[in-house]
Amino acid sequence: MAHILIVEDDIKTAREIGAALVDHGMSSAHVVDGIEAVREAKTARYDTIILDRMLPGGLNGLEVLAALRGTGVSTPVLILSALSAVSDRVRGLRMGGDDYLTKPFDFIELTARVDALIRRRGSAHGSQDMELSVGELHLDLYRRQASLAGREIDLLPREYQLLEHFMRHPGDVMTRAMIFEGVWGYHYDDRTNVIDVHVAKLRRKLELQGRPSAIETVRGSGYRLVKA
Amino acid sequence: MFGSASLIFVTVIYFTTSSYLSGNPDERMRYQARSFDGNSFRQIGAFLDQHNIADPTSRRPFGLFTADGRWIGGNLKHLPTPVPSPEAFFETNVHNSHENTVYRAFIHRLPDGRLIVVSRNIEELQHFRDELFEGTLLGLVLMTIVGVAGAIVIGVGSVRRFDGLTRSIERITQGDLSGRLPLRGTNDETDRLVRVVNAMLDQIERLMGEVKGVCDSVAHDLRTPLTRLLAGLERANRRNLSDVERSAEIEHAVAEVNLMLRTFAALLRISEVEDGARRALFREVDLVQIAADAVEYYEPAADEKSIHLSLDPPAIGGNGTIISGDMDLLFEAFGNLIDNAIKYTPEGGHIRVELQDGPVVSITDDGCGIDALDRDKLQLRFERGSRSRGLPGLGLGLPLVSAIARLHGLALHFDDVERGCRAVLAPPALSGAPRQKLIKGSAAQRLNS
Repeated sequence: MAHILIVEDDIKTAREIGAALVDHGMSSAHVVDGIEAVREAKTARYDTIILDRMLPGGLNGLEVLAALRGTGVSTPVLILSALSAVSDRVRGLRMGGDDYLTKPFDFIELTARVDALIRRRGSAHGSQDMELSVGELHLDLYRRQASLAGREIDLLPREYQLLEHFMRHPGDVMTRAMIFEGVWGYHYDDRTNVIDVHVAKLRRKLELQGRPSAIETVRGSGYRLVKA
Repeated sequence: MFGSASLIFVTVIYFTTSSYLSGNPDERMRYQARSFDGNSFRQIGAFLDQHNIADPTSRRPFGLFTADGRWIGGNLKHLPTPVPSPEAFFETNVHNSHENTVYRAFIHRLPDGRLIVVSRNIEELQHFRDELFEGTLLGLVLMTIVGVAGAIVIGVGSVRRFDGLTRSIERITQGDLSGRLPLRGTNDETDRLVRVVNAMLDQIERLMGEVKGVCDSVAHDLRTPLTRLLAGLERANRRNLSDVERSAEIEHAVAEVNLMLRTFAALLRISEVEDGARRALFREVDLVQIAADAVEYYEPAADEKSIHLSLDPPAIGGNGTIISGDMDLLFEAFGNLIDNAIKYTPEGGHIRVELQDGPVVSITDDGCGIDALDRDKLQLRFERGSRSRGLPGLGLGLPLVSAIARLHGLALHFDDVERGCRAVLAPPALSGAPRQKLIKGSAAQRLNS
């Protein structure tokens, strides 16, 4: 079971995050200030650290991050911040943060990102492969050609990228924001349903003889490519 | 200050002039008196007799006296009493039947104890000195009067002026933000300062109006969904709901809260963008690339409404669309404008995204357009056009676009087009007619709730 360290000065928020993680099948520990966070992160084994950007007392979030990375702690860090400023996000990622989430956030967004961080760490995955296969879906990365049950499908470049993104993370919940960041490469909190339209188009192309596509909707705010 | 300066000036002139006038002859008299030292009594007597003849009008009378002051010879016959001490200058008046004159004299004791007096008529000098004294005194008085009067006039004027300004400022600080400082119409330094302060007040009034509008809108926009939320929760609590109904109610409440959070997030974003700190992370970006990405991203959404969305990049080879900027924000701005265009364009319409050197980005649709009266207002937070009634929206999209444009040294404006609407992002100089008409805070009304 994944074990997560929550560094958050607001007890109620920390409790809610903890509850969301437990519901998601993870366990968590909680500290309220930066110095404690550094000590705890160094002594115990955590799979991911959820780190609030603003912390009271001696060390703020970014300083905690710098202290951890400076002492060789490589646990993935997800930074939480009330600031959505790009500058803040860039600074956080530059200092060794692995992902960044702006408050307020949906908990599914949080758990999906924590999942992704843990997985990314587990599989230093061989993206050098020339092909990807998930169930009946097959991707020839060299020719940039997708096929379903042996039949080639015509995809627009962006549809191909979208499918590749799903196939690199089979079985994982992907929120709209994660898809947008991963496929389009821009960062902003898009509140329109445009992602849904893109996914719907891709799905239609992946339907086979009346059977629904392998991409399923996760209630709340995401999608998932069914593994088998 | 002015008075003391003129007093010193006049005094210096007076003393320099009068000592010049009397200084040189004094020296000559002293020399002449002492030159008798080597002469015998007879020689002096002869000299005095000659002098009597040579100076019949007593312009330079000489006199020889005993040690106790009795007259011996010469045309100066009287010494003033008491006898002045020797080797000194004195001035004396001589009154007799035919003269009434002032003499300046030097008295010298000869080696044998007698006194020789050399004098000269200084009536004219005295006259001149008196005239000079009176003249300078008069000048001083006049100067002082004029100076003091001038100072009073100027002082009173500027005190009045500043009193006026102070009163105006007090009225403004007491809450009358429409007040301005009075101008006098001369182009003096106070007027120039007043003009700058007035411009600052214009800006403050505009900002205050906007803040007030935003506060009102935030309160209004939150009260409405909060009321709905509360009503829904109370209703759910009152009734005996099945599990399905209960979870539907909860989902409904979550949606309401999410909408409120979105409002806050959008407001925070605008102020973050307005902060300007993001400029630190600007890189060279190509607007054509970003616009192409945005068009590509929104294409399926346009397709769903059978809207034709197209991109017109500038002629190949130019790099007038490369600017220093923030990709994510620019994508957001383009996306917002395209999203708006899709929202307000009917099925089967057209949307064209054009780029020109400048850079100028224009997004033209053939939808319902924007009322000319609404165009400026739409860049204010929470304002929505009169034709957007019934469509969902927070009224925060265009203010964000506007803020992003400002951050990049561009301005957002809407062009007149025959049908539909054309939103243009361009440097302020290219933005056509002066738009920045001020909207008085009190006049800014919500167009749509």
